[in-house]
This record gives sequence, C-alpha cells and structure tokens, in this order.
Amino acid sequence: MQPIQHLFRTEYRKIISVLCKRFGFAQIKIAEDIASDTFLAAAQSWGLKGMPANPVAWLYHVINNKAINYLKRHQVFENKVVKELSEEEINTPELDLSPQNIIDSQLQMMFAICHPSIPVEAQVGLALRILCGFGIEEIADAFLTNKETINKRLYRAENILQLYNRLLQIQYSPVAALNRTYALAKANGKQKAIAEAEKLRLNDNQFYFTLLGELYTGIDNQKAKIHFDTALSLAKTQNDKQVIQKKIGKL
Amino acid sequence: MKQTMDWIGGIAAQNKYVTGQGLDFDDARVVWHNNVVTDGPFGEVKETLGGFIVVRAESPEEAVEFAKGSPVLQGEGNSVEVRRIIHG
Repeated sequence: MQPIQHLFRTEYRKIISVLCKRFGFAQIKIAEDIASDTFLAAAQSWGLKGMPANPVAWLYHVINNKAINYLKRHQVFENKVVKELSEEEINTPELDLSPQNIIDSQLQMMFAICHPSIPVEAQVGLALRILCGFGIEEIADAFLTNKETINKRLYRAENILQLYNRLLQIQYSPVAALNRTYALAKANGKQKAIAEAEKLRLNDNQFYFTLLGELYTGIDNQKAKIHFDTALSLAKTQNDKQVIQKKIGKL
Repeated sequence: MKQTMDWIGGIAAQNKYVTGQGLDFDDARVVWHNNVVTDGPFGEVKETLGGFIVVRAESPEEAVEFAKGSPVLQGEGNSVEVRRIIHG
C-alpha cells in the first residue's frame, strides 16, 4: 500500500494538468480548487474508512463529478469556457482521464509553466507546486490526524533500524545483524537491504537464507527459491521447516 | 546523523566494527612546537578531523570499501584517510 502522500503527489499533477487542458490555463485556480477539494475528501474518507481497493479510480471518479458539478453551477462556463469548447466537447462534460490524455495534458502544462511571459521565479514555484505536487502534503497532514496510522510501519522500521545500528556497535550477534537487515528493508526498501544482506555471509545460519529468500521475493523469485531451499536444508525443527515451506509456497 | 548511523550499522552488521567516535570542536585545542597552544584546529590549517572509526578488514581494499560508505564524502573536498593499525 502506497503512503497517501506519495499517491497525492503523483496524481495531483496529472489531475491539474487534465483540468487545465480542458478548461484552459487561465482557469488554473479553479482546477486547483477542484483538485484540492478532492484530495481533502479523500484524506477524510480514507482516514476513517481506510484506503479503497483502487484509490486512483476513486480520485478520478470524484474529480470527474466535481468538474461536472462545477460546470453546471458556474457562470464561467457560459462566459469563458463555452467560447473555447467545440460542439463535441460541450456535449461530453466528462473529463478524459485516459493515460494518453494525462500525458498530453502534463506536457501542455509543462510548456505553459515554462512560457517566457511568466517570470523565472514564478516558473519555479509553479513547477514545484503543479508538476511536483509540493504543498499538497500540508493538506494530507492536516486531515490525517494520526499520520502514524499511514506511516506507522515506516516510522517504526526507522526507529528499530537505529536501535539495531546502535546495538550492533555495542555487541555484535548474528541475530541482531539479521534483524537489523530486516528493519533496513522496511525502512529503506528491499534493494538496499539485499545489498547489505549479501555481505553478512552467515552461511551456516538458516535464518540468514530465510531472510535472503524474503528479500528476493517479488524481486527475483528464482533466487528467492534457491535461498529458501538452502534454509530448508539447514533447518532443524519441523516447525522451522514448515515456516520455510509456506514462504516457498507463496512465491 | 541517520546516514552515519546507517553506515556504521552496516559495518557492525558484518561484525567488522571495533570502535569509533565523532569529534566535536567544543573544547578543541592544538598544541604546537614550543608548547604553543591555540583554540581549536582552525586558522591556517586547511584540514580538520571530524571523527574516526576502527574496523576489522581483511585488506586495505576492504577498508577502502568501508570508507567509501562514509556520508562525509558527499561533501566536495572531504576525505577519509585509511590507516592500518595492526599487522597480519
């Protein structure tokens, strides 16, 4: 599950771009309002009910409805947008949120932001806000009353990693080394952890190979299987063997 | 700080960390020829020591690999000096 902030950052800029392409760059303030309202709604709803199965589809569905509602209610449609829209576009109020249109819209947005008529400092600010999604975090933070609910695992992993970093300096043990590597995977990602795990060389330790198997699962399942098999050959108790078999089964 | 702890933790996880210490500039002094004493290692001295770490390495090459992970190297002009303490 992606942390909510990462999702907001990636989707915000796409949505803004599509709205601006549709309504015109001059309507950027309205585009931001619609996008911001949608993300506020998401933060509130998901904070209470949890993230939906398809969060991006949820966001796009709500954005579409808000855009249509806005068009229906506001004069701007009559005064400004109608002039820009073709006959065909007026009859299809839905937003085109297909991948191709998202890409086209973002490209158009980049050119608009980098237009020479906009002062350079403003260009940077706009680029950061619109293209990179900075600023949206404040909204996410304000409404996710317990950030740790979303980032709990990340936060805990980071703390545990520091703990094991210090522990290993005072007293080395293979168990601490393995636990530290696991915490590293949770805090900094599997790739970094794999690089460090390979250096541990605890070649007579079943848990070492179980860890390697876990780290490679989803990244290189062939290697994962090899490591789990080695762990199996080193495992002594029936319980341990069953645990490893389960992991192999999940590959 | 986190980067330094992660770097040292990585060495410690390989059971190759012996000891180490970051070196503050508080209360630093330099004692020169003729017992001249100055406040801290500043002024004409171009380089100053930020800390040290003692590791167990099989070879100078391995020690160099450890040194490469030091976060101080992200600063242009910074360096990590690798010296051998014990032979064999």
